[in-house]
Amino acid sequence: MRAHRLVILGEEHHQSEHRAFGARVLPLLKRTGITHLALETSDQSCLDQATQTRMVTPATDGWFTAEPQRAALLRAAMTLELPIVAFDMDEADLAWMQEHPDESGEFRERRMAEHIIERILQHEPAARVLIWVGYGHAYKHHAPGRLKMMADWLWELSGEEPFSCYQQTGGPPQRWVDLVIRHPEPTFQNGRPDWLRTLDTCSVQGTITPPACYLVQLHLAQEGSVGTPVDQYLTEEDGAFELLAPQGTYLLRWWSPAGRVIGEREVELPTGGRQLDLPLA
Amino acid sequence: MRRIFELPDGTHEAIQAQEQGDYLRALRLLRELADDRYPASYDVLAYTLQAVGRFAEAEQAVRRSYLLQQGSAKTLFT
Repeated sequence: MRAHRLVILGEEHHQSEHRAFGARVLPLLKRTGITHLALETSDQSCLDQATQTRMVTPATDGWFTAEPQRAALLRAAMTLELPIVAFDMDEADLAWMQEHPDESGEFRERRMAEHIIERILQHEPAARVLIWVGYGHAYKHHAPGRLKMMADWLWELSGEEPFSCYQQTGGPPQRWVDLVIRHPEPTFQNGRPDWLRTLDTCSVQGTITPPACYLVQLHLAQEGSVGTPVDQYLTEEDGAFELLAPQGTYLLRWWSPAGRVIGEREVELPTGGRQLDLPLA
Repeated sequence: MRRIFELPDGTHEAIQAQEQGDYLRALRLLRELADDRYPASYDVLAYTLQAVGRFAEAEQAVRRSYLLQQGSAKTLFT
């Protein structure tokens, strides 16, 4: 992988764990020489705003950063001072696709590769890019009659062979990539998947009364309620929750089943976790 | 003109709610909009279920989408 300056890391969009993995592995990739994170998203101005304000909100990346692990991926890149570059369709591309729906699939794949070249490689020939994609965009080859995907286009148009990794949970291993990263099917405790319990996470547990389905959120204190939660959980009818996040200061908020914020308090997450009971005010 | 992805009317309102951090409203709308005629509606729902930590339910929604899309339409997310 170190020999390649174009490294593709694919996620299955329906697996939050894959994005959590990306956030954890990003510091290691930077140490191997990665200089940019290219992201399968469209709006560069929102990414730039997030970088400038050091704040990731649910609207930073379309609505994708509403998902805590997608937000974690962006925060990791910002912490590492990696420029984040959008390479998905822009308005002109989308207009073209609407006019040519039967050609839109391959057009998108090619344009994404062109954007990476135009927006990063042409400006910074020494750049080494981590290209974050979903599903088949990572394929370096294609079967006859099937779409030629972004990685395949990038190889052809840049003249450089990318190293392509595909994260996968379940199913037969993907072809047409260099490396398949297999994640086990998650197991759950307190409704939370095991992959959220990493060496650096602390636990905050509690019960909200009266019993009902509440949404409980943990925001970074410095971002406040505007930022995407670091973790959140829609409880079962018993109102019990467990949230997981690294040691630090957070804003804990909880919403009624009717969709109203009914409480918030600042919490310190110490190593080892803490127990909270949150009666309604 | 054919749309690139077929989603039920009202999806935009749900996405807007999510962009504003109103997850419960987004989830309520997307649950109402999930419709077998629009397989991708389950993909959108799954993403929001993941966002609120309901991973097992999200998996069910994704499976529903796959089942409906077998051999026909493309997934919303590629």
